[in-house]
Amino acid sequence: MEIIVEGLPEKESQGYVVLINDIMREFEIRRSIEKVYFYGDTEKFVFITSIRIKKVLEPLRIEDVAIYNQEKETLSVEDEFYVPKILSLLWSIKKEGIEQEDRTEIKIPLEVFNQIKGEVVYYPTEDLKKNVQEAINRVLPEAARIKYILSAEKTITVASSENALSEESKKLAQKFHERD
Amino acid sequence: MFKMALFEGGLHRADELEDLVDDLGGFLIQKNVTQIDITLIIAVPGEDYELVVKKAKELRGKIVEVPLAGSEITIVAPSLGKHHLPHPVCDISEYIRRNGAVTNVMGLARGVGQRINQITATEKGMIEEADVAVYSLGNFSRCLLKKTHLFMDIDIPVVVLGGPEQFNVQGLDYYVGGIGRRSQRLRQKFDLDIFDKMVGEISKAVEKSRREVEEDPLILEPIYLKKILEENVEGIDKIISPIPIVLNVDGVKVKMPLNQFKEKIKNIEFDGRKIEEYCNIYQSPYSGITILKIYTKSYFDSINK
Repeated sequence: MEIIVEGLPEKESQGYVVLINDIMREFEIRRSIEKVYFYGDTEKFVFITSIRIKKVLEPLRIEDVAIYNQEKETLSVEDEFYVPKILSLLWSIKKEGIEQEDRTEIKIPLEVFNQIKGEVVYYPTEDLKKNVQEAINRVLPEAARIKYILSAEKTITVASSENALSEESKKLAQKFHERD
Repeated sequence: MFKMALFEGGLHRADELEDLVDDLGGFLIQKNVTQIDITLIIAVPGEDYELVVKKAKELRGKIVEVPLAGSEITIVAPSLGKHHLPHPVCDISEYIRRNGAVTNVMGLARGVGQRINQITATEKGMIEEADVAVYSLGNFSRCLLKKTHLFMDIDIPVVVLGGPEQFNVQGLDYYVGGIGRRSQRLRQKFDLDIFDKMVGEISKAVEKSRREVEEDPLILEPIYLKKILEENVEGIDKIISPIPIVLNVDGVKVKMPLNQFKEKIKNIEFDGRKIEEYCNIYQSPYSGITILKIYTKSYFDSINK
């Protein structure tokens, strides 16, 4: 993960590099991030943070996270994390004949499984983006509550200030958003 | 002259140390028991300090001198948000406590930002109830300059902590750089070095308060008043707070409402006078606890004439 801080004196930049590093570690997203840009203008009190995500992960479908046993009519989920998501999806379709036998075992009739096996249960990138957004809010000064958010497939940029954001600041945010 | 020390060790036979302190004419300032461990903050006459060190060694405990014992310090953060807590404010608070002081953590309602930051009269009043205020501010020197009004009107000594190495403002005597906004626990060697520097500055600030008191001495030492209250006021041992009586440089605080407390000290006398004759007793308008500010010698003489 590369951290680039601009617009601040050298000492303050170094402090912010440490701070950004610590925040990314706290949110456990360091390995998923390619680059972080931070721009600070303490005179106008405008701060911009732009984060590039390394890789966009494919959404996970039921057949990606669980194995169906046709004889027993049981779905074995690999990770407990996906069980509530699968159950909520199943119960939205049908309740009869669907039973959680064990922490990771769900009894489902074959016709129901065929109906739902292609359904998406988890969007890893959406989750990551939520964390990235949270991390950006933590990086930006607390007083900078007026925000201008730009979001693309692999990039999230937030410009913020305690005052109304000028067109100039918004353009600068756009520049950071489009930077490599 | 008393020496203040912190003892950390096992609960087993720790009462022997308490007895020794009592026999030497010293005082037990604070006692915290955590399962089988005990932490004691004691004050012993300087010439007998070695005896206490010897006893602590015999009990296989650790004893260190603590410069801030007997003082109450308020750590002020711009807000109680995730940006300031638990790091660095709680780390600062912990380190100060390890040096013997009683700490309060306080977040201002609107202490953030350059243009929008402000402090209310209530907040100022709450801060001024302690002996020293420690302000934990951010990384930007320009922001620090815009926040000077948060601490310039405070009537007690103020220590400011911030990111920039240097911060020179007229009227600010104590500043420690290198502790700005942090998001991880401050436990590295360089963090602890900065904390030591911070404790040095806070000690100077406490010393300044003590010197001011010495210019017109108090008629009774706060530590004696604490002992009198502990021995005579019924119900102090039943207060749930971990520190029922807090020592200040010029008095004590008892964590009991004033009406209850006044009723209980009605008949207590010390040296032929009632407790009320030694100090101004009032209720804190903010926390509801009782504050006892000991009269100075000159004031005491003037009211007795």
